[in-house]
Amino acid sequence: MQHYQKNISRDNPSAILILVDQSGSMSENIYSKIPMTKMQAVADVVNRILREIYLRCQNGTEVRDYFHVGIIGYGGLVRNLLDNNAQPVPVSQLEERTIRIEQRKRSYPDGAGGLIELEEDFPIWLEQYAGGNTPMCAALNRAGKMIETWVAEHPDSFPPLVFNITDGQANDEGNPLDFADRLRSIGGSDGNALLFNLHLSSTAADPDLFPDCAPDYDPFALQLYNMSSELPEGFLPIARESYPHVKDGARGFAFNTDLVALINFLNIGTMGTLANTGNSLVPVDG
Amino acid sequence: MNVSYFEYWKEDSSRNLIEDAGGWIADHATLSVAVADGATRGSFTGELARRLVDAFLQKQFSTGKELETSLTEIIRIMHRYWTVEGRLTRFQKMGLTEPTCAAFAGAKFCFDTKKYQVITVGDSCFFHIDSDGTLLRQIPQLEQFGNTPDLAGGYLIHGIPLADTAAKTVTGCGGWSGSSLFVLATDALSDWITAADPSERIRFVEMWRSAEDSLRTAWIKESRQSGALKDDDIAAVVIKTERQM
Repeated sequence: MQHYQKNISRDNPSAILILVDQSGSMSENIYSKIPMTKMQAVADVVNRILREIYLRCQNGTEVRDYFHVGIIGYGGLVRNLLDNNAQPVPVSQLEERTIRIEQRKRSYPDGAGGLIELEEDFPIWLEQYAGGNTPMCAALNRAGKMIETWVAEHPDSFPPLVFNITDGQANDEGNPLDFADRLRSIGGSDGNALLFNLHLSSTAADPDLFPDCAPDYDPFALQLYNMSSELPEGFLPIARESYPHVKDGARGFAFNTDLVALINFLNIGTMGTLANTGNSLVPVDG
Repeated sequence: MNVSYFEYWKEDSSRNLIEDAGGWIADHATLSVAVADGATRGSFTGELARRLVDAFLQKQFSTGKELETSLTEIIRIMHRYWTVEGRLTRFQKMGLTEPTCAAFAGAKFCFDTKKYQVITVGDSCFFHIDSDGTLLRQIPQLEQFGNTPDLAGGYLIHGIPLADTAAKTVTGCGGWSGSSLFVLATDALSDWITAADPSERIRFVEMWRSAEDSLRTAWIKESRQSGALKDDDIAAVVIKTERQM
């Protein structure tokens, strides 16, 4: 029986959980044309992704709960950043979970061949923060418990997707691979939870996205690779639009990522899931 | 002429959330018919689809330029209603930053001359079907549906239509003699009609124009379950001309 086929609907929503490394090293710069710290880059991209998910679920004045979303931060401590009750929250509750709203400029066509710049609201759910060690095992453990409860309540839904964004190795007790294996073993009728791992880089090394093997990896990269789920079949064409080299059996894994690769990786993962709502992030569908 | 319109929503939706629209209007000399399909992305796309259909039935634009003029008025009115007059919360307004778009197909039939004129944007289609089910004409000529077609629309956040609507339109004209079948349909059903064999088309047309709503609904559900019909909102008008006009 094929998995990862279930249509996402209000009756059978899916969950997206984002684990964010907030250890001290996240205050270093990410490799990018624009000088920016890793914590800035991650907060910005995560806020964009949540805004995008919210907009995809919005229809006029109504917000349809196709997704439940959560953010877990780990830097010194492990914290649930959207909801203290340790459960992903329905998308319709994102408005009340907003920390603040920034005004950002965006260009729009002016109807006469030019552009006009307008300010638009940009909600902030994740603030930038960096401090302490990297308790990745504890974060994966928290995510596993969260997902276990969620799947028990939604056994026939499209499986949850967990992103883990980090710039370094776990330095708390345990082996992250064990916690990752446990998380990836939690499943319902449409397959097991997916875990995608992304490693951020400070240097100009070539990013490696969606590899299908790990030939020359150092032990740290190999560990993250082994922690990552294979891309389900439905995600492959979306990944190949940006990265034609992606093969069957590719993992939801990215190493040495710069800012551009970070954005692409999260977009592809989210798009792969949103495609099952019949409401993908690809341009308008009549 | 015998005209029958029916619309139905996708499985996870309901009547009040349908984003497809359609309708027809006739006088002693002409029949005007239109369908439109609000795109997935963007807010109030169902409202745009309904307004496009209404604009066509009342103004009967036949060129891309005329459609562009109507669309500009529609987008400005929707901008004023939803943005300027403060009907939305800040979060609801965020959705207006994405383009609000629709596919559209409209046709005008003239009884005396037995001629028709068609205008379309995107993947809503016009079909002229022979009495044996053969497709005589399809406007636009598409083989794939739902793959990011060019659509008509605009940004409600500042009330400006998308550029080059006129260039995105496909127009056509033709005529008929004797008994003929015409269908205007949004993308899911257009896809089905394009792929169906002639006998299936004839059975569909007869069912659509003469059956009760419950039978049409049953056919849609059954076709979706078998995978023959995409699970999407549907709007379609079926027209059968009489042999002696």
